[in-house]
Amino acid sequence: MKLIVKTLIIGLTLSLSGLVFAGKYNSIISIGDPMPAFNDLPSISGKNVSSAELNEDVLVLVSLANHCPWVKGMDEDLVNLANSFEEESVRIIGLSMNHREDDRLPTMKIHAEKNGYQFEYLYDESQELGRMLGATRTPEYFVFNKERELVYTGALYDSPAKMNSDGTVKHINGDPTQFYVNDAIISLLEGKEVAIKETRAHGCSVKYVQ
Amino acid sequence: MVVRLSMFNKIRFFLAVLCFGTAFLISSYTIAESDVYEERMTAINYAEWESQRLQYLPKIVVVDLWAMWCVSCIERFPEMVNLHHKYKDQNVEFVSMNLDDREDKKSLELANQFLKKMNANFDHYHMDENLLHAFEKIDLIGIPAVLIYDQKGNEQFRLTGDNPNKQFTEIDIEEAIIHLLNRT
Repeated sequence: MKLIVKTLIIGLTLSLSGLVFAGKYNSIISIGDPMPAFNDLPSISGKNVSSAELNEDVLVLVSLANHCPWVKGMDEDLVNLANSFEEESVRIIGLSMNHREDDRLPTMKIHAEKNGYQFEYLYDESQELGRMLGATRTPEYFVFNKERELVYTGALYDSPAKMNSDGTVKHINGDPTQFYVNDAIISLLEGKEVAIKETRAHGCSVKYVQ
Repeated sequence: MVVRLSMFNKIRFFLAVLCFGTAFLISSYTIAESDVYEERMTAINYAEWESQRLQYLPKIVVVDLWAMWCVSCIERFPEMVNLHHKYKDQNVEFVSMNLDDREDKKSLELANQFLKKMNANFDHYHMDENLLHAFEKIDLIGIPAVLIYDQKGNEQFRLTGDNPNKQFTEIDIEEAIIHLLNRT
């Protein structure tokens, strides 16, 4: 009898921990979780960036990979998003975690210049930040509020875009109709609750060293 | 009746036969190439696939989910070919399921060429669904991913990169296969 009760308690605890700590599409971080701290990550700008120095009301982290056609496909929209909030207290930061040669800092600089990135693009060589975010795809967005709690994670919008080998860009479901990250940022700036909190990010996989 | 041809007509006849023969060989080659293209991947929607995979029973079925846009999938594909060679005579069926955009004909053509180059002599399918719907229906977050079904058609292993701290390797695939083989 004791064994049955013990088993039930363990089972219930595991079930609840699954509900509390795992996002629907993210095995590590969940809505409401605090942003993982990071220190001195090197950026394409030549600076080292730490989370403690970021004071904006909204912070958006986005996992990127230079080689990924789904990143290349949405690059222009990412730049437009960043530009559209440049007058607001919003900070957008790109992250690269892969160890592929074409995803490292020298190529990140080339990629950022080519695509007009005006935001910091950090290289997380240790992959610690990526692991703490549970970032397994590129692009994958993480929106944090002023208290640095996660309020949205997932895709930029509802129709991911891929760059084909001939350089053309195609949205999988035509023009996007729901702009999840943009809407989450506006909700935060207006002091409202974010309506859509989690979506399935579609893109390339991040390769973590095991 | 004997038809006598002049030397000039003989040359004309010879050239005509030569042209016809060349045209025939070119068209045959084109058809053969086309057949190869068709043979590599079979378009299949999700419902059809759920039925099709049961046709392999009572074998263990190892499904490799991949796409040409997925560099990691391309890099690890030779592992599947190796495992296929190792286990093909032990009641283990390997299949690949391509997840390129069904409207992206260029990628599908490249995928077929890739499979041919890999010399992957097992069944290949292309998921004939809207790409996002395909991910939803298979309940996939990302690829590469490997699904392993047991001898009764039940999914027993789902190897993915969804957890940064527990990404799968070729060893995990092989251990899963051995586990199911030993269970019988």
